[in-house]
Amino acid sequence: MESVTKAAAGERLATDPVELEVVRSHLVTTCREMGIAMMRTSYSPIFNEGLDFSCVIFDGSGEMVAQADFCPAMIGAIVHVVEWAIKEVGPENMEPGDVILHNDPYRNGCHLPEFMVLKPCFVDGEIVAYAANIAHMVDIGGMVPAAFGDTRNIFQEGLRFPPVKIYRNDEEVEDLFKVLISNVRTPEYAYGDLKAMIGSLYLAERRIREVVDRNGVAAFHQCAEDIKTVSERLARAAIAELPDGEYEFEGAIEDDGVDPDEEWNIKVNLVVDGDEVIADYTGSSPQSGGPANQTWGVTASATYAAMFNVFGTIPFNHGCYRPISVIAPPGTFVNVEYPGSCVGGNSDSSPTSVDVVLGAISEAAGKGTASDGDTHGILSLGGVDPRNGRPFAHLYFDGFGWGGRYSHDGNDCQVGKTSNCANTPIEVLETRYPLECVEYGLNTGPAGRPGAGRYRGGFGTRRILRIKSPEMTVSAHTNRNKLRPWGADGGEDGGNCQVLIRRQGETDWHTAVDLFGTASPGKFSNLTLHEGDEIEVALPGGGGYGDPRARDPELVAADVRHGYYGAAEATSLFGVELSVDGGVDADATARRREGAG
Amino acid sequence: MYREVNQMYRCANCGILVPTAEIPFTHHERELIACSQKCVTQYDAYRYPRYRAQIEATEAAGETTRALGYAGDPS
Repeated sequence: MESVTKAAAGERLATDPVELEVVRSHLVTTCREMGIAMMRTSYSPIFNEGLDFSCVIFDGSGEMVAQADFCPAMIGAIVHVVEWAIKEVGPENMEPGDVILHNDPYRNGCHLPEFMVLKPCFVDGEIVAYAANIAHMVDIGGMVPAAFGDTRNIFQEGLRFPPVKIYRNDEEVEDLFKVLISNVRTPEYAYGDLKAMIGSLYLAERRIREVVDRNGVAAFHQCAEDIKTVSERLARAAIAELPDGEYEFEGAIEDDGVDPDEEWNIKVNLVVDGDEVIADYTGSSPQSGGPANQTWGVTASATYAAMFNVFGTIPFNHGCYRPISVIAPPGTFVNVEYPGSCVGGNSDSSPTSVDVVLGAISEAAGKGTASDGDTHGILSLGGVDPRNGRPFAHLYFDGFGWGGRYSHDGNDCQVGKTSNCANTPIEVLETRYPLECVEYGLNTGPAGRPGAGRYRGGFGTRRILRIKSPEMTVSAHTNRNKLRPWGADGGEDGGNCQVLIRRQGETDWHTAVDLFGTASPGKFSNLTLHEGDEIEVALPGGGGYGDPRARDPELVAADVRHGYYGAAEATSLFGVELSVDGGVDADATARRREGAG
Repeated sequence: MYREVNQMYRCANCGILVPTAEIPFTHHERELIACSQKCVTQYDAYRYPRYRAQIEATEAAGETTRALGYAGDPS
């Protein structure tokens, strides 16, 4: 982490640089502690295994001063979500012991499952800071267990809360809890997870009071200002290193589950002007009728996540965001209007938005990257667990291959650059849900294989799940079933996603279109599978970067040894000839590559 | 009283929904809403010059709604 002390040296900040670093570290550590508390006290694997949450501290003026490195998609949006909640409720209407709940995607949120809780921290009657977190609640009612399907509007997606007080005077607002837990399929999980979120706020409040007690209110306020100022200076310096100019890039999302043959473009014009940048999404497609739309907050979050690649290790707080402007016209794919559906935009469209902005940054920086696989293979699974007779809802997602870049191969099996979440391990999956993991590995099949390149894309995952209950509903939200992740600088495009189903006792795999007549092979709702049926989710490899025939032959030989490619593919894709012992035949390789050139 | 999001203004420059404390401003006799002073400046310096033809076409079509940041929308 870049030291704020270093950045403050020579600059006239009011706070002593050492004290500034002590306070900043205290606040960041508090955010990490909040996350650990949530991880250890929550009920759902998406919390305690997937870590699909983010924890932040805002200062009394409503600006973020500290965050922990959990889920970037939420950290980007939380700047706007918390700001909204503070403004709509009004600080003058907040009292000690209040906790505010908010999950409205249109009110600068991400999507309905992303619940935000916020607690004002009072000292001597004054709000000195706010503790907040966003976390993914697995089931929020709606037409699909665990939320993700081919929804057409917000009402099908689940319960929506504008900013409301869920705690008053440190007591639950019982009526609100009743509304929540009576409208979800897994009330114990919803209650337990929400209490874990709120518990972490109380922990943060104690820690904030400790630092305010030690420094005094006025010094704490000044410290918060200086922490943001330092990050803003560093962010502006990083942007200033990019050449001024305008850099356009666009990428497409196929099949919103409603119009499977349509495509929606995400287009950005990145305007670099001195130490500021505008990400202008004017020209992106109109909003779709399905669930792939992004909210303004999601689009802003994707922009920030991409820009953080420029910022490097700058401490992330409100100061980093000040030099970045986002323009997203209302009613478009990148700024959905009420009551348009948007549950999938945050999870599976957002990675493409990040890649689009990275494409523009690559042009500016002269250091390129190909597209990631950009789909998490989301399955929403629901039913009754025959082992205990209790209803369950599980959100399944996994890692895809990242795109090759100017200096390295793409990473294997990672979630999106806005996600930072972990997979659900086999043991947890099989213990908590009536599922058996039959196979789990790299997706090396020809359909999903990453793009070849001087630096090839990373591999996605491939998993086969077997149903272990008499009946289970399966819904899906996946991308890249048709369009491939783009390659860059002569690299080949990456692979496709596949969601396939095999009935018990049969040998052939089928798409949902073939078996159930769904409109889309990758986005569908509430298909009924039975015990012994299997579902395969094979996620795409990323695009390749650079000419495949410029790839180091030794790396190709290593890929063959690892079983990623056959010897024939080493020749056809990379122009590399291998000897019988698997080593590189340098002369034959040179002849083949020269012949090709 | 609860206000649904389609009764709120969006910023004429960046498109974000504005919760409260909207910033009204006048630009070439248009009554507009922004979310921040930065967006007021950016509308004049970037958005309007760049998209003037589209903005004028939208106005000619009578689509001067809150959703596009027009303060005069009576809906």
